[in-house]
Amino acid sequence: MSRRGRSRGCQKQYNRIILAWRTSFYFLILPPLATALGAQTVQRGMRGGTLVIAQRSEPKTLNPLLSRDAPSREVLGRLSSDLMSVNRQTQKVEPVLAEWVHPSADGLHYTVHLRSGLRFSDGQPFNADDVVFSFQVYLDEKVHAVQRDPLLIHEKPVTVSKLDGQTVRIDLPGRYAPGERMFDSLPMLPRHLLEAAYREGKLNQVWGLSTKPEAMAGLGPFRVKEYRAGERLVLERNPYYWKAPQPYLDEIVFLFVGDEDAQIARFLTGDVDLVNRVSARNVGLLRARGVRVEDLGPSLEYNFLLFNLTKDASPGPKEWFQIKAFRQAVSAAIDRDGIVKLVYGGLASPLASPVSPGNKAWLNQKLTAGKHSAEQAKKLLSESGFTRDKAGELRDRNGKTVEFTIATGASSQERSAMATMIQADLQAIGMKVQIVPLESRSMVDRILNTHQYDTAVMGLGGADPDPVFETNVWKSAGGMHVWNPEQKQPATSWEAEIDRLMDEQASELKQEKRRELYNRVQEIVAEEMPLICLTSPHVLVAAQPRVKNLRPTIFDHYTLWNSDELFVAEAKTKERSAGR
Amino acid sequence: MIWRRVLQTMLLLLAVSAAWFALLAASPGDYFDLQRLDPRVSAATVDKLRAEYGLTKPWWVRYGDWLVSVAHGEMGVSIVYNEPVADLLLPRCANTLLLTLTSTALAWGLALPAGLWAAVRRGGGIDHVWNVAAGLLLAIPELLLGTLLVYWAAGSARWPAGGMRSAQDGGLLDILRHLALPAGVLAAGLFPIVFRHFRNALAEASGLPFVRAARAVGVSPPRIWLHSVLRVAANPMISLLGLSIGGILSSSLLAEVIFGWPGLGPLFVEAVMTKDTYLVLAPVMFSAVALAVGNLLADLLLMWNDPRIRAAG
Amino acid sequence: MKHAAKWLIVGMAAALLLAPLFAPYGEEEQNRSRAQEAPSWQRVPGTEPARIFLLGTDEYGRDIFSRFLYGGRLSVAGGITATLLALSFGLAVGGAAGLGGGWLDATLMRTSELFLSLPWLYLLLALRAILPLRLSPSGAFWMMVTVIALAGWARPARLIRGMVLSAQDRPYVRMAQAMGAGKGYIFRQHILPQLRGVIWAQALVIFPQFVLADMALSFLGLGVAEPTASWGGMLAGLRHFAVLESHWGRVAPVVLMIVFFVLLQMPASDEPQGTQPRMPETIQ
Repeated sequence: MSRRGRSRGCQKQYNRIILAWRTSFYFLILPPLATALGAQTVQRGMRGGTLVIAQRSEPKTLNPLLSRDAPSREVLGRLSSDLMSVNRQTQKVEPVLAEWVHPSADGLHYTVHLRSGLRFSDGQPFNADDVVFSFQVYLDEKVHAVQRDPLLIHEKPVTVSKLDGQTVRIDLPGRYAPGERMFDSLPMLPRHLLEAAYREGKLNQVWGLSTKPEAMAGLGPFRVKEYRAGERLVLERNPYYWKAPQPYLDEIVFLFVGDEDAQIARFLTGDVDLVNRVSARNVGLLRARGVRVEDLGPSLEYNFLLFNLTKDASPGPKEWFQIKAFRQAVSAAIDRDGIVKLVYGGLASPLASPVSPGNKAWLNQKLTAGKHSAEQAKKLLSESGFTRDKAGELRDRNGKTVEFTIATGASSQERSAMATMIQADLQAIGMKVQIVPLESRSMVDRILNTHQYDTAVMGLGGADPDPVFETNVWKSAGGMHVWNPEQKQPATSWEAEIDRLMDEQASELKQEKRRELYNRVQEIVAEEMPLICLTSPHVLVAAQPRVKNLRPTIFDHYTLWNSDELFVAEAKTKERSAGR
Repeated sequence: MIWRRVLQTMLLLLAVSAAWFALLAASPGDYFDLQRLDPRVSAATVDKLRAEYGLTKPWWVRYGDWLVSVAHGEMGVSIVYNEPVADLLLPRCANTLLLTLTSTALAWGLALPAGLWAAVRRGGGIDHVWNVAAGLLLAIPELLLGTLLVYWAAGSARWPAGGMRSAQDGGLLDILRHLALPAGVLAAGLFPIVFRHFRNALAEASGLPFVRAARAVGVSPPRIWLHSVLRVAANPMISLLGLSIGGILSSSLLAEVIFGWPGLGPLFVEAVMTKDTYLVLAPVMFSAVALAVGNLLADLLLMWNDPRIRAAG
Repeated sequence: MKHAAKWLIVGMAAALLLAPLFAPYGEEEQNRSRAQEAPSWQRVPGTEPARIFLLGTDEYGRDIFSRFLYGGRLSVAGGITATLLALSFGLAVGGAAGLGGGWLDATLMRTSELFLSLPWLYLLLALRAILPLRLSPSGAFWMMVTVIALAGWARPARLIRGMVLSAQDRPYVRMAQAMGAGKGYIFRQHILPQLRGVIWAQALVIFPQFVLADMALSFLGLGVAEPTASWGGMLAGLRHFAVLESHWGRVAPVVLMIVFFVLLQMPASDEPQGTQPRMPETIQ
C-alpha cells in the first residue's frame, strides 16, 4: 500500500478504513455472497421430524473437555457452538456466536463482539463472562482439556480479556498462521453450571452419559433429551438456539449400532437415516438396492507404510531401512493402482505425498504418485548391494535374508487388505514379509513408545487441512513423528530441514509463502520416504431420500456440520421402499 | 458346607481377578495411547493424563487399590467413561439377562420334550430325525448363523436387523420382535447339547436293572419313564443346568456384538480392546460369581434329587 | 450309514492334511486381474492368467478352493492337536483327582473351576497382545492351540473325575482292591475302558473349538494372519455383506465345512444302551 504523500495521521486513518472494509467484507458480505453464488443453496426446511444416525460405538462422555473419541465429538458438536467456525463448504471462517470479529493489523489480537440476546439451552444468558470462563478452563493445566494444546503458540497460551459484557479480546503470544481457524471446534461453556465444579477441581467428573439433561446446557442447535445405555442418545431441538427458526429437526437420534455391516443392515430396514463414511466395498451393494450414495472425492486422510527408523529397531531392519534406496525400492514395488482397484473398488486416490488430493489448498501439484515397477525396485536394490539367491530370496550385503514384519491395526479392514497386497508385492521382489495384526492401542504403543516393530500400515489426518495441525507429525521432536518420535536433536539433515520449514510456515501470514514452504516439506518427504504414502479413501455417504438439505463435505463432520439446516420430508411409501 | 463353599468361592474370585489384572497389565499400551493418534494433542499432555489416572503405578498397586474399593462396595471408575463401573454395568446386565434367560428357556423347553420323545422311540425314525437336526445345529457355528440371519433380516421388510428397540419405541412387543432372532440363535447353539445329554441319559437310565425289573413286573411305561428313569437321568442334566447358569452373563457375548444387542457383550469387548481395566474386571467377576452360584445350585439340586449324594456329602 | 460317514471323514481329513498335493494353486497366489470371479469350470479364452478356479476367487484373486484345502489343513491339524492336548491333560488330572481323593482332589477341582471361569476368547485376546512381535505363523498357531487346550481341559477333567469316583464303587473294583491290586492297575484295567465314551464325546466338542476360536478372533480382526488361509478366517469373512453377495463360491467352503463337522458327529450320535456306565456327577 503506497503512501502517496499522506501524512502519518492520515495514513493511520486510511489503514483503519481499509481494515474495516476488509473485515466487514470477510465477515459480513462474503459469506452470504458465497452461499448465494457458489455453495449449494439451502432450502427453507419444514420443522419437525426425527433424524436417526448410526454410530459405530457409543459416545463416552458429554463433557467437551474429555471428548477424545469420534462418537463423543460427533454428539458434542451438535450441542455446542463456537465463537467462529470454518464453513465446511467454503473453507472460510464465519462468525457464529460472534457478531463481528476485528483482527488487528499484525494478526496478534482479535476483538470479538458477541451477538446480543443469546441464551444457553436452559434459558440462561450467554455473555463475555462465559467466554472468559471457557478459555480459562481450556487453558488450565490441571484440567488437561483436549482443547488446550491447539491454543498454545510456541508453548505459550493465548490470553482472553473481557472488554465489556458483550465483547472480549483474544491476544496471541506470537504470529500464528491459521489465525481464526484455531477457534473452530472450541465450544463455549456455561459458567453458571460448571464454575462450581471447576473451583473444586472436579470438572472431569461432570457431564457423563448418565447426567440428567437439566444439568447440562450448550449453545448448539440441540440439547440432550435422553440416554439409553448401549442403545441410543436422543437430542431435541434447543428452543433458545440463536438462529431461529432453525434447527428444523425436532430430534436427532444417535443409534449405537456397531460396525459397518450392522449399520448397513439397519439402514436397509429403514431404522437408520444416515451412514457417514461408508466403506468402498459396500457401495456396490447399496447402489444395487437403489440407495443414494454420494462420492465426495478423496478425504484428508492419508494411509502409509511406515518404517521403524529409531535406534530400537531390530538388527536387520535397522540397517536396511536406513538405506534410502531400500525405502524407495519398497515404494516402487507397491502397486498402488492395484490397491485402489481391489481394496477400494476405484473409490480412493493414490498418494504422492501425505497431503491428499482432497486438500486442494495445500497439495503440491507437481508431485505424482509412484508408479508400480518391480524392475525399478530390483534395480535400486541391486545398486545398494542386495542380491537374490537361488531360491529367489533377497539377501543383504552380509548374506542375511531380508525379512521383516508389517504390523496392522485390527480395526481397519482396508489397511489390513493393503498390507496383504503389499506383502504379495514385496514377495515378488524377494522380500519375506509377515503380517501381524494387532489391536490399535498395542500398535500405537509399539510405534510411539517402545519402538518394537519393523514396519506398520497406518492412517493419519482428517482433522483440518491446515498444515499447522500436523506439526507434531512433521517436526522431529513431535510426539507423532511416527518413524522416529520425540527426537532430542534431528537425526538427519532432511529432518532438520523439515523442522525449519514447519516453524517458518507456522508464523508466516502470507498464504503464498506458506504454500511454498509446505510444498518443499512434501517434496522432501516424497524423496526421502520415511513413510510410503499409499492411498486416500474417498468420503462416501449414504442417506435415505427423506433427508433434505444434506450438504456433505470431506471435512469433519461430514454430514452433520450443518445439522441446524437439515430437515426430513416424509416421503411417499414408494420412495421409501426404493431405499430398501 | 455352605460356608466352605463361600470361602472357596472368595478365594476363586481373588485368583481370577489377580490373573486378569496381571494379564491386562502385561499387554502393551493403554487407553491413552489411542489419544496419541490425535496430532493436535501433545505427547506431554497424554503423559500427564496417564499419571493423573494412576496408570503409571505398578499393577499390583492398582490391584490393591481396586480390592480396597471393592471392599467398600465400589467397583472402580471406568477410565474411558469417567463414570463408576457399576452404573455402566447394571442396565446392560439387565439386557443381557433378558437375552440369555429367554434363549435358555427356549432351548431347554424344546430340548427336554424332544429328548424324552427320542429316548422313548429309541433307534427309530423319530430318534434319527432329532439326532440329525441336533448334529446339524451343532455343526453350524452360531455366530455364522447370526450373521446370516442379520443379512436376511436386512433384506426382508419385516424382521428387525439388530438392536433391542426400533427408533420409535414400540413397547414390549417391539422388544420381543427384536429378541426373536438373537435368542433363537443362542437357543440353536444350546439345543443340541441339552438334547443329546438328555436323550443319552434317559436311554442309558432306561437300561438299568431296576427299570428292567419294573418293566418285567408290569408297571406301565409312562410311570416307568416319569418316575424312575427321569429321576436317574436328572443328575447329569442338573449339572448341565448349573453350568448353563454359570454362563448366564458370558455366553451371549459375541451374539450381542453381531446383533447390536445392548448388553454386556459390546461393552466388554471394547473395554478389553481399550484396556479399561476396571470395566473389564467387573463383568469377569460377575461371571465368576455366576459360575460359583450355578455350581452351588446344581449341587443343592443334586442333593435334593439323589439321596445317595446327600448321604455322601 | 455310519461306516460310510467314517470313511468320508477319513477321506476328507486326508485330503485336507495333504492339501499341497490336492490344491491346484498356491495358498497366497494373487491373480489380481481376476479378482472376485465366480466359479468357472472351463478356461475362458482371453483371461489372463488362463486358469480354472473351481470355487472362484476372492478379493485379491486367490483361488478359493486351494485356500479351502490349505485352511482345512491348518484348522484340522490345530483342532486335532488342541484336542489331544486338552484330553491328555484332562485325563491325567481327572484320574489323579478321582483316585487320589482328599486334598489333591479338592485342589485340582478348584483349579479346574478357575480355568472354567476364564473364557478362552478373552484369554486369547490378552495373551495375543503380550507375545513378541516376530511370532512366526507357526508360533501363533501353537499359541491358539495352547489356549484352547488350556480352556478345554477343565470340563473333561471334571467329568472323568466323576466317573472314576463312581467306578471305584463298583463291586468288582472293590474286590480287586481287596485282593491287593494297586490303584494304577485298577485304573488301567477297569476304569480306563469305561471312559472311552466320555472321552470321545468330549473330543467331538473340543475339536471344532479351534475353528470357532479362530472365527471369533477374526471377527475382531485378530485371527490367523493374512495371507495364511484358515477356516475360521473364511467363516468370519462372511460377516461382511459384500462378501456374502459376491458369488456362491464364497459360501461353498462354509457348506463344505458344515458337512465335515456333521459327518464328524455321526459315528458317535447314538450309543447302544447299557454299555455306557452311569454318570452320577457326584459333587465334592
